[in-house]
Amino acid sequence: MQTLSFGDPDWFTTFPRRVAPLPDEWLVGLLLRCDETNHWESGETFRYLLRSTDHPDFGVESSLVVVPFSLLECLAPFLMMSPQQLLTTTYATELARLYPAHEPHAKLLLGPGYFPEKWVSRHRTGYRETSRKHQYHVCPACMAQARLIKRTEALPYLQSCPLHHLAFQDHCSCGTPLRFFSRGVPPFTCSGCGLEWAQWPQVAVPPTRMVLDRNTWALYEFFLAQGTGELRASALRVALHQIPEGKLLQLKLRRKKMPYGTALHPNQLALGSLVDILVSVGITPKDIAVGNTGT
Amino acid sequence: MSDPHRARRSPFALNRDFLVTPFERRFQGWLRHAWQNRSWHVIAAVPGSGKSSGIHDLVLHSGACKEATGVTRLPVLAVRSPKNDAREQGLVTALASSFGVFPTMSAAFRRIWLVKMMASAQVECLIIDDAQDLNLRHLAFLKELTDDLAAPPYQRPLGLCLVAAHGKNDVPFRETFAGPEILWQQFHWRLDTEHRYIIVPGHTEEELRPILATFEDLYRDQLPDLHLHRWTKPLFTWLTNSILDPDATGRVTMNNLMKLVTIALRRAYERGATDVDAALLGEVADLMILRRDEITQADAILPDDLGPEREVG
Repeated sequence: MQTLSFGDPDWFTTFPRRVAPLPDEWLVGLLLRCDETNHWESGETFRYLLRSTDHPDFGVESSLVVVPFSLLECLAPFLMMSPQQLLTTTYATELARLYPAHEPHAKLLLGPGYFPEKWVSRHRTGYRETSRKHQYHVCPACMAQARLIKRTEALPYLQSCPLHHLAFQDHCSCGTPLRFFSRGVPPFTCSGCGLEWAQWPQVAVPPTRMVLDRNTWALYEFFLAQGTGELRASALRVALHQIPEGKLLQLKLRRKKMPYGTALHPNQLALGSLVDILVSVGITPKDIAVGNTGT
Repeated sequence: MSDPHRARRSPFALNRDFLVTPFERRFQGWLRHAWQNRSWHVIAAVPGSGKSSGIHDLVLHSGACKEATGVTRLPVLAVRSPKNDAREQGLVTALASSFGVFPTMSAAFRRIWLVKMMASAQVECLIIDDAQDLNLRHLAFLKELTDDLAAPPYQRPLGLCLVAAHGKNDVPFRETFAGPEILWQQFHWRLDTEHRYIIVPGHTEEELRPILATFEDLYRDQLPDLHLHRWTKPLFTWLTNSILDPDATGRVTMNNLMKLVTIALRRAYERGATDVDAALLGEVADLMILRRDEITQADAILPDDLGPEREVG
């Protein structure tokens, strides 16, 4: 990434201070670092982008797992980088590869049962039981070390940081739930008491949960790095072989029972749900690789 | 009949490079002095001396940069005095815009943000060009801004140059800052003790000669036999005429010199010449001195190099 000198015309069309994505950084984290380095309040960059572009049904409360490309095109010149570089802060590329028949969308990762927080509060009746809001979380150790919010933190059902093996935190100790973009507070701080997220408690996860998270992460890593539509379908076939017909499958991540036959439509199964089934059946990336080679 | 030599020639190319003239050395010297010593000065020169170009060149070579890592340095922050906004917000916006694009903020928040941004970008010297247009509100804001930066937690004293156009051998603000009001006393107290008000003069005849020699080098490829410096004396005489030097400074401004020389060179080039002569230089000097308010009857269509165009109507 080149240094910008004062004589360059881009000086006046870029933000006062530029940021570049860190390895595996999530767009949320990049936007907040941009706020912080420019001395703006939390969410200022994102709100500025939303005002500069027109995206019906996309707003501050939207999941940023996948964002409209035009929003990245709007952000890129302010940071003097290409929209493609910013695409790495979302899961758009990975989801496009995993679901080639679909337009990349957060639901392909999170599943239709997930809705942004505001949406749930506006549509309480009838949806509370069937939908779960996706409560985001951060790793206090990643925050403390590098102000880093990784894309990993957007993955459903993962409850601990694969790097630090610490539980993700979704609430401040004052009881205020985590909100990424809050007006009137500095970035990376609790909107209730102002405590920095980096100072939130670093809690080790119990050994049983650590094993579950390790298996979950291994599958996500496998699919996100090399997954395709065929590999996803093959993985589902391998899993279904393990479930006796007519039996209920106890989903370990969602903690629900799934009757046989529910997940027979691989194209309608979100990655999070697929990983849940695979973890629950006890299938590893190695099993999928072998199964895929066998077919 | 058209001259085949002229027909082959491409249009005259004007050189717009910044020249480090003796005036610029003097002017930038004081700006650098303020920067290095964090001192405050009112620096004046007659209009057309090259103040704005000198400021721009200084900022370009001040080490200002935006790194991709979030580090931005702007050691010398220079803005032109706001013309259309008499409120202090006009100056705040001008200063804030020097850093690039920023979101809409309330006026109060923008003032606070500007202080933080200037501190984090390590601004060391503030230059206000066309400072003669500053009003009381702007000056009060400048004092507040520099005070905020000098105080904890930033503790960054700033050099300040109010660069103004002057006439009649006086310097703007001299009478204002001598006033009894507290604000002016505070300003007066902050100005450099030894060199509060500085007038930077234009070029002497001796200084003109090397500038003309530089022009020869710059235009050698278009006018191979150019020997401009031999016309130093008549050029100096013309350019210190009371029309072009109304304050009788006896010095030459870069703006007048550039105009006279480049018009003469262009005319010589368009006539197919390879040098200028006294007659041509005198013709342009007449244009600038005797015929400077002449009205052009625009009956003829100017030739252009844009190629055939579609007729309208």
